[in-house]
Amino acid sequence: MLEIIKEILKEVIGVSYVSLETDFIKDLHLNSFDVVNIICALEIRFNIEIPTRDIWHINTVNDLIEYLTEVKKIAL
Amino acid sequence: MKNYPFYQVDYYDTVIDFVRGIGKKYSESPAITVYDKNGEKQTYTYSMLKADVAGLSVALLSMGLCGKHVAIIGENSYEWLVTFLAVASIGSVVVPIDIDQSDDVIEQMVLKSDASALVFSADFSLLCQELKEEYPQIEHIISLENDFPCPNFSRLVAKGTEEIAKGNDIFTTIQTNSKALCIIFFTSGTTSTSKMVMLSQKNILINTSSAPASVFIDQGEKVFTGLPFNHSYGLVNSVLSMLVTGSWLCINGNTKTLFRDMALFEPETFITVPIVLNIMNEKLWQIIDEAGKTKAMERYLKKKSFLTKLGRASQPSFLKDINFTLAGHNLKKIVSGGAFLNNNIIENFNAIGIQIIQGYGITECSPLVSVNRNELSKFGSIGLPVSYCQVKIENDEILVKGDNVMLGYYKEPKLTEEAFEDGWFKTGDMGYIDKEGFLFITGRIKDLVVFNTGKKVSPEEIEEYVLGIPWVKECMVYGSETGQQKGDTVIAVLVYPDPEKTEGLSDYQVLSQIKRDIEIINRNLPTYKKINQVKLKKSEFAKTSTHKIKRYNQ
Repeated sequence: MLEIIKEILKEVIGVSYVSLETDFIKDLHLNSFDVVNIICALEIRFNIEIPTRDIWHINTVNDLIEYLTEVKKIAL
Repeated sequence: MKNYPFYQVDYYDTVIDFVRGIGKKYSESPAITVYDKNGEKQTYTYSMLKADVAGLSVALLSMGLCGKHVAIIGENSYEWLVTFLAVASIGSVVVPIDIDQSDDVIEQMVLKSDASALVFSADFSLLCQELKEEYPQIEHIISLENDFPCPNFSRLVAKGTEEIAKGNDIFTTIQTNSKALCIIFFTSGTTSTSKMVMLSQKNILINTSSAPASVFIDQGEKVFTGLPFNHSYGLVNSVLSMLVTGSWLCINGNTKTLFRDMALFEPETFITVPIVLNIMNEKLWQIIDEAGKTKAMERYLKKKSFLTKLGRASQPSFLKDINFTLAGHNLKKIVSGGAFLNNNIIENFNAIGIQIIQGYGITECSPLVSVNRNELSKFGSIGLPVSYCQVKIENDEILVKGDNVMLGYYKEPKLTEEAFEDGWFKTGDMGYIDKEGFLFITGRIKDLVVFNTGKKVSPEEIEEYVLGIPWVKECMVYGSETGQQKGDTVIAVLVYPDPEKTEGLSDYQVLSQIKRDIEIINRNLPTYKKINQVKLKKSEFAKTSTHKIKRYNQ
């Protein structure tokens, strides 16, 4: 899953050096449009819908993976 | 060049006159276009808009909502807009809720504003049902969509329309008071730090007509907005000001589809905030780069900045053959407000034949105070005062007087009194007026962090959360530039740790623990409010005589 997230982040915001601990706001300094672009890419990739409000609770790459696997039940 | 007469624009004294007036004058012309999730287009004419507002007004009156406070909780939509117009038409009070807030904050907003009815979109159905069960003062909940077990928008419009067909003429005969409270906007910040700005029908309608009196908008002109309706700029200037001119407005309520909808609609005019223009600017340079014209563009801009004092659009020949598909092919004019826009972006867009018109407003002034004009603008300026309001500078502060200035802050007479000086509203912004009458902003007196999205955060709100961390004794929240792009602001906090509780620990240990606690706070904050940088301070903060932290002397 980490590899897929890395791939998406590279494609959307041009950043490839991320780890599970990478914080979207503090480390990558993303603005609200970057966040929306990442959501859109994830929605297309996994054919899911992610409400913008769900994103608030996601700070790190690890949070995102947990959200996708536990809340959205994406199995890999 | 001297200022020239204002453009002629209709003025309506009450919202119901506005709805009747535009419905009659522009009847079968397209008023509102929306695209759904799949990109399917739906267009409503001015007649349809008027009929829907009339139907809903009649239904709301029969529910006993005359004079009540009605909160609207949902993303931008045609239904949102019709609800606003209907509630205001019957003389009731609209409370637009910022949906970028947590459920707890939304609950507090609903309670503080004394809402007795909640109108909501699907994402807020559960919250609104819970609020109705918990608080007896919330008498009604109304869904903007069809599939909920409570009164919904379509059913109410149909019911009211049926009443009208049977001879109910209340919508054609009702009179409301233009000076009465019409809308309560929440300013930046939430809970204890937010203020509720009370605006009358006259306040917002004066502003509605004065904006296009300064900036020409043609009848039938295709205009696009994605600004949230719960902000005064989004609702008054990007929607009502467009409808009063008979233009054709496309509304977007979802950042995910903003650029898609813009490309589909192909607007001539776009009303927005700086962050969106930053993104479009990147795309512009990408297109120029792909065409191999980067060097030529850089040379042109260097030369042009010496020669041009006016912000007028002019297109150099080497750019004429490039296909700039930033928002379809028709875009000629962009109105920007909410936060300050970098001058370079204005120049870049001018070079490709798109004029950017920058204005300045504040919710307490309904909101527009000044704006550059189509034929008269100045770089770095926020324009000339709009037709109805007077602006002056006193002790470097911008003061405003006129029919656009608010009734006051809801339930806060002391705050209201403090906001005025001899009948002039004190904006809290510092600036000056040049000899030609152009207004310039130089800074802020009030402690607000302004983002390039136009959103504003009161530092005290974030400080409240940070002070909840056990090891934090004092803290100061401020806006910090990321350095990635000019104007890209993030929230930063300077912390003075409690010396007793952190005795014997290294700075690294203290900072790590505080950062972990801040991560927990961040989990419940919307993206723009998340704390991005944390720094430690070795000594207590310098204080004023009233024991408040001196913000600018640390």
